[in-house]
Amino acid sequence: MYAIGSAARAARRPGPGRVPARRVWRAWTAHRPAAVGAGVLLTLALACSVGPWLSPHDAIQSNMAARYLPPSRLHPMGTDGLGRDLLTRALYGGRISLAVGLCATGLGLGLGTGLGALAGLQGGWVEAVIMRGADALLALPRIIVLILATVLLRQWNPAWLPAGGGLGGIVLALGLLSWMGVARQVRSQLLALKAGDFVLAARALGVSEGGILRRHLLPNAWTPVIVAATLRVGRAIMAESGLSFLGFGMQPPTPTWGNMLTHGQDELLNGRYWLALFPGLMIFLTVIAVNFLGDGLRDVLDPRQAARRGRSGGL
Amino acid sequence: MNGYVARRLLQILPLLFLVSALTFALAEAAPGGPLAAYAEDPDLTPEDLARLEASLGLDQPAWQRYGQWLGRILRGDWGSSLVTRRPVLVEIGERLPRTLLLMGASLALTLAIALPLGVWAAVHQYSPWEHAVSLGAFIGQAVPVFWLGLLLITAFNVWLHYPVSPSAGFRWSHLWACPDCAPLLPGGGMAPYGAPGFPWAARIRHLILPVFTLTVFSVGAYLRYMRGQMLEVLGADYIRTARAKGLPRRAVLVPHAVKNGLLPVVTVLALDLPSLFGGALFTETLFAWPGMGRLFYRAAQRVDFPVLMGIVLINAALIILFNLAADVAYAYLDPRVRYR
Repeated sequence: MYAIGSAARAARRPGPGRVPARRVWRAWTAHRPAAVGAGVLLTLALACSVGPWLSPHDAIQSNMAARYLPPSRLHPMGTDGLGRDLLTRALYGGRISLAVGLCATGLGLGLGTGLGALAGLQGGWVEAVIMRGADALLALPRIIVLILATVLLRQWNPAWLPAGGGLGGIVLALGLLSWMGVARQVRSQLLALKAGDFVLAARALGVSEGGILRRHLLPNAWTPVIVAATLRVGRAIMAESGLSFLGFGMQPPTPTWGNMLTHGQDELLNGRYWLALFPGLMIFLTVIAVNFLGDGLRDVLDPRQAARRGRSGGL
Repeated sequence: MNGYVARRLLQILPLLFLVSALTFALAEAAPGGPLAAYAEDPDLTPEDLARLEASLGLDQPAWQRYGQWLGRILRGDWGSSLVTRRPVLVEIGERLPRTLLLMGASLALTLAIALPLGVWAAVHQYSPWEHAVSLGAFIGQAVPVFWLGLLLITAFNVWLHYPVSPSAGFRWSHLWACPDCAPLLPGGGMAPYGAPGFPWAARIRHLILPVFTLTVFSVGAYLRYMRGQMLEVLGADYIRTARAKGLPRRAVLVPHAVKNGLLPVVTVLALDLPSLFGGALFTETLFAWPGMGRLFYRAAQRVDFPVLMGIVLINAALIILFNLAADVAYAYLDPRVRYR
């Protein structure tokens, strides 16, 4: 009886190296860069969601009396060639950048987890096709595949995708092209985990294969995936900005940090530095905050790796 | 060793095949197909279109057309640009060396900075200067490459000038304010417009800003990687053994630790190549550097499919080859790999 009871308990709270939530919280708040990163991100998200409402200026409407004003009290980031307040536009664009980053990462995370689990559990030709597909996609520069995808989507303009060249298209393209890393990670985690004793115990107790995957394998494979996904949000935001900057992303008049920079490039030689400075600064701030957050998460959630990184040597 | 190379070659063939199929599928997915332009012509009946399709072989199944397309690619017939009407291979061949020059120069500079600094940061872990260096690497990784390029152009092309004024001679203040001086560094292009011959000095001056931009883009990742690698190696048992034997620190650091820490960098070098090319695309676009990245950008703007497909293929082939070379080099440097 005792043996079965302990096996059941092991099956309920399975796996090696799970960290209690309270310790995670304490370690995380003590991790200064991560806390700062999270704070900056929360502030940015809040500012972007309520800022455009509170602002006395409009993000889209032009105001020809106020063209190309340098930064001042009234316009902390200056105004652009159509007299629009840059700060309002930057906050409005932040909504799009943050939403695109989160949605695209979510899509990639879902796809990657599904495909990675399929590859890791099925094996055989299914695994070969998925993993070689991932290799082929990773063998190409990301921005090139992204540009190709957006150009194709725009040409195609499928009826089920509202505004094929717009927001939906970019999220779709970014999401479809960011599953490869997740799939690789999930697969390798599952391969290592599925040989574990706690899986054997669960199976012996009659847990179905689907239940084993859901309740026992995925929760244990999750940690590195979550860490990598956090860092991926930053990369997705960077990619979206890059696409918009090159003119393949969101189109004006909808502001994004990327297409605001394009305008900044046009005005560079006229000395209107603020048009390029501030939108880029927003991208930089967001990405570095995300990176700090992700790094902190890794240190907290993945103590084994943190210990390895922190171990000082014989020198 | 030969067996290992042969095995790796056999492994990359399916990959090349897959990329080419992917490329073909992309071209297929282009809406309307090659005859879209004719469909609008009121003088052409549907029968004419069908005949045209048959004569071009477009009515055959996709796999057959893929075979023919692959055959043409292998024979070196990559089609012509829809915009300039020049053969795709000529267009690419002209620009590939320039992109390689840009990427090569930046990679050399990146390694020259990142590897020694990474080793230094690992040895001096937790010192204040190490924190500063690691923070710098962190910042470098988060700076958008296109933004950095814009800022550099503003600083060195718009704001700063040669301090030598034609009339008044050398004055430091002319660095900032000098009405009739040239910008300190060129902000675009490969050489002054219409310059005769091959002006080496001007070429190098034109390289400075793009190479620096691209270097900042990649130096952080290498630095952090090298640092992590060295921390791992420095914790290894053989380092402790070497120190226990009584070898001085310096004698342990380079022959034992750095050599082993450098090994995986070879692989990362190849794996990182696609992202470096991505950076080059932005850099070339910003600095009007007439290389492959800019070619791709222009082709994408004009939906010039033959050029786009050509660049994708060349890129994939180069990257896969570099990966193979890295694997072989790794196996050569580290005998443990060969026997796996």
